[in-house]
Amino acid sequence: MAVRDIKILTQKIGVSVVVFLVPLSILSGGIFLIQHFLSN
Amino acid sequence: MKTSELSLRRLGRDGLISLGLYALPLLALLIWVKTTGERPWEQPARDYIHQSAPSFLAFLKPAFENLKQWGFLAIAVGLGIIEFAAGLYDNKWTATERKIDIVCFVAPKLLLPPVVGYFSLQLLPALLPNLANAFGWVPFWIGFFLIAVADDLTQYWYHRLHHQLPFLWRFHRTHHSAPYMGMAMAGRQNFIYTIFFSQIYLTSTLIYLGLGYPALFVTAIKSLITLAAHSSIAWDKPFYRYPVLHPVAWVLERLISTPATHHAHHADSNDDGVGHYKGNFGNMFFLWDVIFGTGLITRQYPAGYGIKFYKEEEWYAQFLWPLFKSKKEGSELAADGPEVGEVLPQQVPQLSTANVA
Repeated sequence: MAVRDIKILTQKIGVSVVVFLVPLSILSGGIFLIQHFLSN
Repeated sequence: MKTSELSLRRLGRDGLISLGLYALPLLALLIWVKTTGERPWEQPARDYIHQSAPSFLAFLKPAFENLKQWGFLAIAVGLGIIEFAAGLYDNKWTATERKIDIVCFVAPKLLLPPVVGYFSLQLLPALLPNLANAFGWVPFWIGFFLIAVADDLTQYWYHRLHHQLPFLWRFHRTHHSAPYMGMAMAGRQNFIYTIFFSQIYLTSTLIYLGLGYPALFVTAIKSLITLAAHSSIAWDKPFYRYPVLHPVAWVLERLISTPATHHAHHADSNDDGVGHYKGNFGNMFFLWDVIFGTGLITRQYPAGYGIKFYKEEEWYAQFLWPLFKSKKEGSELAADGPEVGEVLPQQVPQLSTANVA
């Protein structure tokens, strides 16, 4: 594998991680916030 | 396929809209907590997900579990046999295509489970200790809504970015290189595209956090819809043919992927006004394409499928590029090949309901 292949693989994995982390942060963060602010 | 400034702006705008869409299940949850006054997370022994699920799901659960274990495999093989018997592959299933389809069908079933299993059973407990089942208190229908949005909107974005960011195209190209539609190509993907599917890991994480029960139903329904959308059996035709069914068709084609809309995504040309390979990205829900204006609904099927710059590359290059390269001269998958063979300027996709009766 050439250096440019490693670069493109790294970029591809980076996109996958961002597309995974953004919704996970919104959803899990949102549920924890609801839980935190509405606790008795 | 250059990413124009306009396209990047649209990506940014639609990304911001998506943040709001991801927040909708949270809004539903907030309304439920406010209106009922319940605080189930303070009673961890209560299992809201199961308690609040309709009782008929208890009967459906084993069916859905079996579907996920072996049922979809049986459905895909059964549908594939019907497609071949009906001649729907039009003699296009050549030796090269057969090799790619069979490798892409078999290999991920052997290689993906250990990776996802390691992520779910080893990595998540190590990264998120004490959070297993932390969201088990979320009521079933809100969990169902949450998983449906999380899984499918994330796949919409994963899919759309592989079409609209040129450096990602070659990871998704294998799925579009098939010159036919049907069960043979439904799972045809470059393995690196498959192994880094963001929504697989997102849904696995939400299952670890306690949403496994709704996830079982969402992912099974999604698999049924996506298999049906790839099939060369045009099950949606009667909805367009009979006027009495047109209202159902209107809702159906905007809500979920159908053969007509998904086949348009696999068309080899946009020139006939039916093909729309630069849009119709939705997998389970077509609604995302309606919201973001990337959809085209014509109720017709393209004349041809595949990609214009296809050179029938070797199975190993299609399955494992960039680890293995094609020896075909000028191929996008060759060592010195172009990033994107297409030279036409990118059109800005528009939602259109032209020709809808």
